[in-house]
Amino acid sequence: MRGIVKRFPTVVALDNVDFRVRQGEIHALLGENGAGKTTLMRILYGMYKPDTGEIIVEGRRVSIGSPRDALKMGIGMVHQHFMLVDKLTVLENIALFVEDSLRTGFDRIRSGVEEISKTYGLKIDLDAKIWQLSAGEQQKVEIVKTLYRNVKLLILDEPTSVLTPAESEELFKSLRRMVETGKSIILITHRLNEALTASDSITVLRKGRVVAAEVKPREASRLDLVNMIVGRPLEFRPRVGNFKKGGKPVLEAENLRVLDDRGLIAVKDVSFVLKEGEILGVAGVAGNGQRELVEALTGLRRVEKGIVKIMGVDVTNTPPKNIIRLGVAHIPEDRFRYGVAPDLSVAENMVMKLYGEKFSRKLFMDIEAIQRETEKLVQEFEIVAPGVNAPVSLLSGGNVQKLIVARELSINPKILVASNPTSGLDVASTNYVHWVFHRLREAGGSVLLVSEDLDEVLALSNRILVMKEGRIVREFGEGASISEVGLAMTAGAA
Amino acid sequence: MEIGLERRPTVSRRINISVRILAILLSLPFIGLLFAAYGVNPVDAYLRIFAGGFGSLYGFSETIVKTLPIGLCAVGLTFAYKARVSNIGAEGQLIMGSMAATWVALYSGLPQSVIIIAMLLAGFTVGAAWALLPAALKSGLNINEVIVTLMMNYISLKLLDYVVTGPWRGLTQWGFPQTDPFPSYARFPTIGGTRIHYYTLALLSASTLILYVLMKKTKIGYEIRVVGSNPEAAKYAGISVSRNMLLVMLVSGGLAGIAGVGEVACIHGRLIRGISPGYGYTAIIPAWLGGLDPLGALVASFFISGLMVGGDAIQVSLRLPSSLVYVFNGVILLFIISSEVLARYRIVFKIGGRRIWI
Repeated sequence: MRGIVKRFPTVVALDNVDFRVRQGEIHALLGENGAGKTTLMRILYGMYKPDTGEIIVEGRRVSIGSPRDALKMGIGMVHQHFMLVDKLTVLENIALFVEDSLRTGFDRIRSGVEEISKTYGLKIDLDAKIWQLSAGEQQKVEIVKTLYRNVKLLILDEPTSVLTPAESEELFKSLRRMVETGKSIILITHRLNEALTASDSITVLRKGRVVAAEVKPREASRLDLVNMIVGRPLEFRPRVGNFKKGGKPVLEAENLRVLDDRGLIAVKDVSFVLKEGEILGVAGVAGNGQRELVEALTGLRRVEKGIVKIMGVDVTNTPPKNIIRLGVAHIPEDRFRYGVAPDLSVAENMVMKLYGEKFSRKLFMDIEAIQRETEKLVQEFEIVAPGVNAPVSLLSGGNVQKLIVARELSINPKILVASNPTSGLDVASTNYVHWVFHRLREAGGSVLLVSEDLDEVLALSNRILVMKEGRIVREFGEGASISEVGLAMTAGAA
Repeated sequence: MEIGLERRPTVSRRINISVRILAILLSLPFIGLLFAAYGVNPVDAYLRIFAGGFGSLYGFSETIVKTLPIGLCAVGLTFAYKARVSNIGAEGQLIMGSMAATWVALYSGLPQSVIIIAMLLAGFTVGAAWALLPAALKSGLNINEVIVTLMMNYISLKLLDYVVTGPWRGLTQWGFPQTDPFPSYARFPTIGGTRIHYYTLALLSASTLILYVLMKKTKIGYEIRVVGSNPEAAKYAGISVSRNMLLVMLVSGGLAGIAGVGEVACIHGRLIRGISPGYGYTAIIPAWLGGLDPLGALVASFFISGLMVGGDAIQVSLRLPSSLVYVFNGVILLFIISSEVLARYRIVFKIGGRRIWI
């Protein structure tokens, strides 16, 4: 890709970007939120048209008008949010993606897919329904789906954000096999370790410009990469802070049983205590009851059995409002499901928790105070928005996440329940959020940190609980190693 | 040259209004084809419609007479739609309100001095109650409110038929399906020489203003907007979704009920079969046309009422079928709904290296 420029109504997303991938390599593409990684890849995949610039595939200048064109040229993309039909089987989903699938017939597709699975070590049950699969398995379906279209260049957008360490390792093995057969892979990621260990070449984007092209991983250190991505050194090194063991319990769960959306038991007999001034990590593969547990603790989901106590008060099955009033903030796992009202403005979303207390006088909203507070938080958290009165639906995913984090911390919580708080955030923002968590702990606040990012959990938590199949299977103290915890997540009860 | 859609960075009030006016203008040639098919010159027809609805004092006052019920329903509906509660039942709520007022006027035996207040209260209460039932079913059992409110329209229509042909049939009405006329103390006064009943006019103006302020400036309006934008987020923020659903339906049904009171207490002076020529359904159009804003809905109601009055006029003067007016309204609505996308996106033309957008 040469000299790519893409302007959006308010910003220049890509400013004269040159980007080159060689055949048979895994090429990592790094950069902050809004650096232009996704935009660049969407141009390559035909979802956007560049304003100027050219794309050259195997020496030929091409014009890619749609994903359909891209696929014809052998370029495929696996998005962060999977594009699969829940109620259909794996095979049916793959067939949907095949042009002319009716004429090809299911049997031929099946044998083709089986062959691909074997070649690249991507085992999946073709007759399982998508909703029965874990995120990792769904990702395999997405990859196989594009491979079946015979792509030569595969773009993966943050593929490991939904995977366990073991699954990630497996994924990279499969990717390695693909490049050995001559395919090329572009890996968009926020995780520096992946770029350093799994890729052959690294390109870094910052604010729509290339700041480093085709860096060899062995010639760069982690710190070099951070400097390239952020443009300045990071202020905070995540650490496990001083935690006084005698802190009094602020959040207690006793023998909780919670059902999932299908009415099956998702949380089984879970008990734990979160103490004052503590960050308690909850690690686990997605879909092992963490979401249901968090929703039960914050009043969003019914508790079937057991007791939830906050500050010693029994809050089992009380409305969320009462729990908020006790000083509980919540960064939800699915930011678009719970986190924001998309039609409302940034300012209106910013006060969603305190509108009734701090930002209203009797019946009326205090619009001036709301504007002032929002402007302050937008600056502090470096939220990129067209304005405080612009609807949240215009913000990018990373900035929506920043908005939610900013809002939840602005209520000065005693307890913060955070699910994947930094998912989709870039290095600098992640670092800032970690620092704020740390500061909250130093001030005597407590954090329940539920995260699929083991690095994050390990770096911040005073204690770590491992959840598997709805139960807490292990507890670790400070200084646990990533392999120990990773093993407990997948291997089962110890 | 390339043409594409691109999200507007901001959506201003000016864009919203101009897009809607543009949609109305664009719809005119299409309806013109219909007029032409009847051998009528479309331009002549439009002029007559406009003159009929807004051009004379009589036409203007009749437009306001229709604006009263349509506006009351529409303003209430914006409230419900804003909270994403799809109330299709304003028609039934209006009918129930008119029946409640009739009972107060003819059978309650209340003293003359309080009868009008009692009629309004009864109309509001019964209209609201008729709307609360589907709201409760939705918030409690998650039963689709579109179907329930729609079905309840038919129930209220049949109830009306029953009372005016049965127990409440007027003794002095030679068997017509209508009640006896209301006594003079149970009738709303009108502005001299017209049929504009000013109690209702005052209530319409007041409720429009109150709902406007409520929606834009208060905690209640804020909660309703959060519920409408994302009910799950409302729950998460500690806002009760079911309480807000009940509230918007209460207000929406109550205002429709008041619209019904105005019809029996002034326009007809009694309860008759077919008390509403579909005002409750018609009101859905201005509620959306006005951008779910009470003030906008009021203006749009006035506009739609004018079209209806003007449509009546051309029925007579050009001898066109009355259903053509409904087609007219339908086409305009279709254009306005389709134009919604232009309020949020702009069309970008790329010619050579230049970008032009509208």
